[in-house]
Amino acid sequence: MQNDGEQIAGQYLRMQAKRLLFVAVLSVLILLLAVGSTIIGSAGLTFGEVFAAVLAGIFPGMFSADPLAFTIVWDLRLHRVLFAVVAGFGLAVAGAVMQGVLRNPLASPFTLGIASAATFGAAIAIIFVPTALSGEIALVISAFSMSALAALAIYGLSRYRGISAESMVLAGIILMYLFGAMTSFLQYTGTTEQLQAVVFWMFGSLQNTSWEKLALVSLVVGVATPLLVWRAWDLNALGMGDQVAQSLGVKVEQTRTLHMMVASLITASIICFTGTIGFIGLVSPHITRLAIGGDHRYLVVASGFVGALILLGADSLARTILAPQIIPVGIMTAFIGIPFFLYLFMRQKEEYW
Amino acid sequence: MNTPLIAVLAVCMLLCPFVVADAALPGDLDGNGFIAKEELASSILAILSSGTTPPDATLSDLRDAAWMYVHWNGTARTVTDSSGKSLTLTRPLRRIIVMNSETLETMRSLGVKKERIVAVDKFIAQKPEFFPEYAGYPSVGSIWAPDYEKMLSMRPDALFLYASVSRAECDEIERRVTASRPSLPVFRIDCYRPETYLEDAARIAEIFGEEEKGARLAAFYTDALTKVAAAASSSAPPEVYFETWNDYKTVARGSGYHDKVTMAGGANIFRDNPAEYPEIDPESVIARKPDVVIKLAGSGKYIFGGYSGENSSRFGEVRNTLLGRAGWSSIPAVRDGRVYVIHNAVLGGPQYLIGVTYMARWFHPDGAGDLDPESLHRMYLQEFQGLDPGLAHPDRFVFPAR
Amino acid sequence: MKRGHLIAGFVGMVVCAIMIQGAAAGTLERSIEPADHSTFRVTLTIPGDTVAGITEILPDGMEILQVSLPPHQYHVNGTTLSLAVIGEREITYLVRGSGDPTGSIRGTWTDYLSGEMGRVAEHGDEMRGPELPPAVPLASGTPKASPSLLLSGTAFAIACVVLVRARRRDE
Repeated sequence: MQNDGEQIAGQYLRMQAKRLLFVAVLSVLILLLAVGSTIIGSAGLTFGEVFAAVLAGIFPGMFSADPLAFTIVWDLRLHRVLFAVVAGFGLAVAGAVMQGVLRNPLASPFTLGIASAATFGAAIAIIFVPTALSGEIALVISAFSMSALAALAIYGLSRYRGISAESMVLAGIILMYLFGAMTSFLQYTGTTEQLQAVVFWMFGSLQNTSWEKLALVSLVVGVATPLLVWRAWDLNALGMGDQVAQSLGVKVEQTRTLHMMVASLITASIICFTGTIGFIGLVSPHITRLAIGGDHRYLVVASGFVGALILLGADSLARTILAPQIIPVGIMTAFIGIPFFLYLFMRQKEEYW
Repeated sequence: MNTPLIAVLAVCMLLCPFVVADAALPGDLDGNGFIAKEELASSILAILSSGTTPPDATLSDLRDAAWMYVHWNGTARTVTDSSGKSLTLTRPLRRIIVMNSETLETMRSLGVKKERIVAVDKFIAQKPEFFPEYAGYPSVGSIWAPDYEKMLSMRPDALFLYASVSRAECDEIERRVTASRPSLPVFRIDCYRPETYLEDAARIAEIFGEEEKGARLAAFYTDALTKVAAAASSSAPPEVYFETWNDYKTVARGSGYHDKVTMAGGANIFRDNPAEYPEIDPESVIARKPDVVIKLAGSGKYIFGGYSGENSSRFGEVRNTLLGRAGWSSIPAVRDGRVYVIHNAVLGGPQYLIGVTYMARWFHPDGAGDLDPESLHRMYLQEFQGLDPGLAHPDRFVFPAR
Repeated sequence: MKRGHLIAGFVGMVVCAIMIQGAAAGTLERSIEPADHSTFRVTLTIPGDTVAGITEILPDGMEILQVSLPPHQYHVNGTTLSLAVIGEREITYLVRGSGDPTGSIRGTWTDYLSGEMGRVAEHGDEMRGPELPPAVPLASGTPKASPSLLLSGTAFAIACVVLVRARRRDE
């Protein structure tokens, strides 16, 4: 008996160590990639120049740097790199939560029609408010409010049929088709350039990041993630089935609603700036599960790290493969996600989590 | 679509040019293919002597015969369109449908009257400032969304489409219209690309027997282009960054704008990019240090100015935004103040001449003594387009003009 | 004839001619002058290169002699003369008969290129201005009618008519 106990304890400790190692390795990789990303770019800056510029930014009194290098690093590169990290983290967290809430391995932050709603909002702005400065703000607000509307609609619709995973997914499908049709109609009435602009927005891109946007998104992700982690045990319970979870004392409907809303909030606040970047939210939780198992208390955060790494990698590739031409990052993430799914498909194992 | 059907249609299309619609020419009494002066006189006297009002068909035949006598030397006219297709006309065109504004603009330069044109595309009908006489005219949709029913119900005797622009869509329209009306001549003429513009204009002049006006137009263009070429070769080409109306979207070899920049004597910094309209990394503009920056306005977020003249004060704002972009203060173009905004109305289509002259002046200020794009613009509007030259106010098309 | 009237009449006619050019750029005109005894030469002036048909109806008793067009371009039927104009700018024909045909020939024209039609104006006739649609000339552009010329011209035209009538009464 004691041996069994020791065995279990040992296994548990090993599991914990594995998780810690996983996150640690990821952090190091992210850091390295971030540094690498900050160095590469068409302006041809050397590592020394970049390093000096970063230091000069953080400690202005003590270090000085070439003004051009400084501008490039601080005004063009750094916020993009950091944004990729934060956005990837947020989307992956939202994806993990969605998969838990809907008990569905194919769920993603976009399953409930959030992406379609945001695209519709963007299309409205592109076609009806096309002018430069006001157009950008209008686009962000429009995309965000449409996503929020969609989230509320999901809540409203599912209340009719009971807030179960199935009803949410169904409601999500309805919304997806509704917003999709409305977007197509808008595109049809617009000019060719507007149509192109909407399609481009749908690819997703990190071209238009800025420090202000980064701050906003970081705030949202920074507040929402601890909240989700705090309630992560409920997700574990939900995974066993609604009735089991209920019997364990979890308020099923409340939990589902809360988690869905928060995940949607994170997603909406990211994609209203970047456009719909797919696959991060879908793929990261799966990779994490393969490595450290499905316990949501660790899955949520770890999957965030994976997402950050993937998005940063994809963006760096998108910027450099055909330099100086930029490929939209959403295309890159698709290229990364598809091989992974192929791999999953090929695996003989029956369960996916 | 099965292969035999395609083959049959292809054969029909190939044969069409050789099937002359109305076998006899109007007023050609002896059927020898020529309307002689005597035959014309004979027809006129026949009508006059009858004393009564002649039937419409007889009168219109006589009018067609008179027109052909004067414009086509009394015989049927064979014209080759830009796709190499040979079309023979046995009657003057009186019910034309034009589906691209560049061709309509060229027709106007060549004196083709509105009465001959029965329908246009919807974009032409929606440009009241530039095409006032066609505002609210019957429209047959557009090349990308054609209204076939309307087209056929207008009983056209000719249809004008692009040759190489939107080729697939135009091919489809030609195919479907000639399937219903095999004898309808479909002219594929661009009037859009600088390299073929004078040829295209000459073809249209031939169709309408306006060779004299065609020669005037050609002289106008050749004269201006020679001056541009002279200015362009007066000094080494500056490095130019050309941005379209989408931020950070530029042009490369193969695109019309790239050709125009080169024509004006500039070297596009992204000329070697494989894609024609690439979106580029903002850093690369800074890295390539262009001497001149050109920003295109007229669509998307930058929809102001041009012939409608709305918000032309935005030109200055846009330029300031460009000057203030992160890292751009290190670019030679910004340091020297050589950042220009230009409206697509004077850079795309037949008016490219004006835009290219402006650019040549910007690229080679020292060799630009002969260049006068403002007068060119006014002259084009007044002498060729029959519009008020006051529409050519430089404030609405370029900033800064010098 | 008093010399003063002659000069005034001449000036008036010249001004009228200019006025006609200004207000209605190119109407088809007929002018008549006496040739030999009881023969008159009628000259039709066509304002531009065009293809047109003209029908001239002479008063009864007048005989149409030579016509300056080749035979296949005109047809005489009693006192009706049909003319096919193909690029000619001036056509003359001789008429013989009792009386002065001035003012009694009625002519109509149709321009087959522009589709316009109208009456042949008699040179020196009272100005009818807008009632006579101009024959649109082939080569030139839009007629440039200057309003100020029109206004000052109308005053002169009235003077011209008065002077011509006075001249006739003098004879």
